[in-house]
Amino acid sequence: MAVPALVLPRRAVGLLQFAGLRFAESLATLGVAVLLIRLLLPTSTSPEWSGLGERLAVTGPLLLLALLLAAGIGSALGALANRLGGRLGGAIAVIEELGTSLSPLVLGLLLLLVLGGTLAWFPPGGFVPWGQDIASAFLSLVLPAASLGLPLALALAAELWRQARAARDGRVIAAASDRGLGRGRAIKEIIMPQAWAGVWTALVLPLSLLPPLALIIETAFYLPGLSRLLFGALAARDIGGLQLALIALAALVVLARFAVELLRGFSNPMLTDRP
Amino acid sequence: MRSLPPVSPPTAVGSALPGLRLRLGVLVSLLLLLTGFVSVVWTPLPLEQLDLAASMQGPSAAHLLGVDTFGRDVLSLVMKAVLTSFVVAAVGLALGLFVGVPLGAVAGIAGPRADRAMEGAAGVLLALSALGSAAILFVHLGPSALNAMLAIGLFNIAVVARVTRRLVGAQRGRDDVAAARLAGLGGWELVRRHMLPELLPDFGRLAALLLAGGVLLEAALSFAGLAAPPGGASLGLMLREARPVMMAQPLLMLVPAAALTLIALGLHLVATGLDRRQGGEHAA
Repeated sequence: MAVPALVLPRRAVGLLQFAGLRFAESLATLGVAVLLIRLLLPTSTSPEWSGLGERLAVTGPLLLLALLLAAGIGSALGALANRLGGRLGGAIAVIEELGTSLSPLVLGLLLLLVLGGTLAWFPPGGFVPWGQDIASAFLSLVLPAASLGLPLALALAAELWRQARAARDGRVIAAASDRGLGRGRAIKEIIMPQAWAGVWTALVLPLSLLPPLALIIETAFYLPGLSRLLFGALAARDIGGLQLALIALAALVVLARFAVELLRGFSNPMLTDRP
Repeated sequence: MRSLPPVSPPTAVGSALPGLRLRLGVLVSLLLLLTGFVSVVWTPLPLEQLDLAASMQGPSAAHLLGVDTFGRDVLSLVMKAVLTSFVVAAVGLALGLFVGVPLGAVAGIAGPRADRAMEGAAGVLLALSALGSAAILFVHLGPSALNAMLAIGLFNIAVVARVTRRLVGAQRGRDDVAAARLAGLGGWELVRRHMLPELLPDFGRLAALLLAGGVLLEAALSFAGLAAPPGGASLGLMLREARPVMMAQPLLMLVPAAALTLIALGLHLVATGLDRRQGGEHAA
């Protein structure tokens, strides 16, 4: 049985080695970012790490919920567009353009006005602590997560549609058939990995932007997450607190980027360049 | 995604759309820019003229878009704020292009070490994020539009350098570039004479996208209180001031939100119009 030449580097290099390299790079990036933050914000006081967990208990679930919404809605819309054909795909591409222009901040304020104000389906901002009422805490995060996740979902859906449209090009199948691959295997082993890698490549920057955007959205929704630590420290001129908030923010960005790099590499390990 | 094969030929409707997008995008962007420039010499009412008695009132003959919480005319304020958005985003874009293009070009032609160094530096700038950079600048400079310009500029440098590195790297295999190399041309001269001219349409598209991103970032930073000082004219600041009262007077939020979205939409239409005209899907 012929082994596709393009798949060989994946087996040669090994997924663990790939992940290890990316992890080391991410740690180095974070290390330099931390040094830079400490250098640019010199202080004799050491940061109070104890308060960080409480703040991340809001920001972390907010980011996770936004990602879940984006993945769920985005992949469903993308799959639907591919099943129904060009018209829905074209519509999604147009909506994505509108969605990209509608910043999460504006979207958040509009959702707040309509769903939190006029219709009163969701709380108009604020946060009920997890320990007090889990359902209410979750409900407080729905609109902020939707503000962050919906534009990402549209980007994901549009990218899935674009990649699948490109993959339907007969030349890829024909080239694969010259190498002795049937249509099914060509789709599974060449087209889909390439399409998914394309999707993740397109999402590297939007996903890296998600943590700082989450802090802006927290401010709009009066959520006591990492933004409260950051802006509270700025207002109080607490450089130690500010260092802590910025280091946590940088760690979230690096983590998001590491995760999407992994997904990109695992989708199509023949890619050795960075997006 | 240039690594993928080209998509099927566009339909008649599809081929008409890029021109329409581009024209519509340019029209919307120019109209908004013109509105901003007009505010330098004329606004319906001076911003210093506070009508406290009319505070938070809706549209009227005297105030076409109503009055904000401080008694300022919203139409006059939004005209000035649109100009602020464009200026801040344009300075951030210029910083990104002037520093990012040479950095990325060097990384694209100078070999793996320079490539890794550039990639590492860009990764650190992205990890700091525009919000983080603006917070650090805020500590040293206080609230000012300069914060937003520098923070957006630093973010743009990272993006432009990475895109340039990829675009220049892809040009290395072209026949005329190889011929120029054989003729003894190398380094910056090779990039300047044989690569960058070919990449101008890509940079045009990238510039439109970064300008749109810069406008949105400026609004986000001003909303967070890190850019425009209190009382200044900025769409983000207008949103920040409208947030506590928007349930009572939604227009105070809707007007800057609409202006912000229109600017970003116009610039995105320009970017996608240029992209489709080139026949690519994602040049940058």
